[in-house]
Amino acid sequence: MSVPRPVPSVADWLRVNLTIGTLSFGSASRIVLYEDAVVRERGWLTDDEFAEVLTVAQLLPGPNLVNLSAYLGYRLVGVVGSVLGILCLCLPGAALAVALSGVLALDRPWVQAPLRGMAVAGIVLLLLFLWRRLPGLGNTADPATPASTRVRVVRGVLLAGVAGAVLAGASLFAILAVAIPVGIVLEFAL
Amino acid sequence: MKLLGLFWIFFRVGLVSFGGVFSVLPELQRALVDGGLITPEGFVQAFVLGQVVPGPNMAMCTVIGWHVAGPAGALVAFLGIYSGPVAMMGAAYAVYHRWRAITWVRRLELAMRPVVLGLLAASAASLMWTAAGKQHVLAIGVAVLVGVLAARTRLGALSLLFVGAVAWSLGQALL
Repeated sequence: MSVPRPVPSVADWLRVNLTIGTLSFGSASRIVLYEDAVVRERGWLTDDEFAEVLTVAQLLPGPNLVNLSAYLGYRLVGVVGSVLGILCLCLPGAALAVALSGVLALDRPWVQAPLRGMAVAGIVLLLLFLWRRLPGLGNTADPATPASTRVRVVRGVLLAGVAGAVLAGASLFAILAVAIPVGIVLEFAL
Repeated sequence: MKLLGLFWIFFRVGLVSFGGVFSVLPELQRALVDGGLITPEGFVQAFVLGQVVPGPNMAMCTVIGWHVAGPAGALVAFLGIYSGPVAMMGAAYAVYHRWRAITWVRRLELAMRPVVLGLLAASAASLMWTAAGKQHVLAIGVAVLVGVLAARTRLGALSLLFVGAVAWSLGQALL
């Protein structure tokens, strides 16, 4: 924490949310857009801090994108900034959806093609994002000591198990009800 | 009274919607379609719209609110779906941020990382399936292009999304 780092103003934060709220076509991309804005471009948070926020936002119920923006907002600019940020994130899409519901032309090829391209690009971005998160699986509570190989392997297996269970069609609640206690027991037993 | 009922439907759904709208589609359908507030066709149309627009895919709820009760319905749906999660994250922040320096809290967070990444990996895999549709060659081409540009250039995520859009449109026109 010795290096001073940039601190966003409320206006900065609203601009980030408005950009994502207006342009984030391709649903897989949205978490990556926040990482891009908050970590990679502006350095408001470190990689590890972002991973930490992501864990909290993703594990609590609620739409993960809204959770993520709300939590980042509270952390970076406080309550009012966070709520305004959510409005900037959610209002453009909601207004556009309502406007389009009168003139639904979504089945036209020239509308479909760019949307599909963005969907595919978003998935690639999400996969690269996950790749960047993998080193974080080797962290321990003490920044100076990395986790042992055994702990890394166990965490990797847990990750694959959760992904496999979702793809096999198990209910999300059942998966979390098993995976959360298993993860905790493994962490404190190893 | 109708508005209050509408608010309640979206509020409780917002609080339990893990990930996004997908996990609560059955509940929304039960409350809205079976409840006679919107036709099955209207529901599907709202769902498609919610997937297409930028921002959270919960945008479908605002569309449904609009169709049920006009601007007031849209406002009530919007507030209903988002107010719960925003308040909850405020509480989570207040609690977690105070305790995060404690070693065992930090270890809990580290222990949950694989679970979170596993959920995201699964959603990437299942989205890949639907996004490619029947145009596998085009999908692979666009994916490789975006992947290479992401690795070799300094283009940001948003620029790469639009590269994908242009590449798919061009590819579809040429192939």
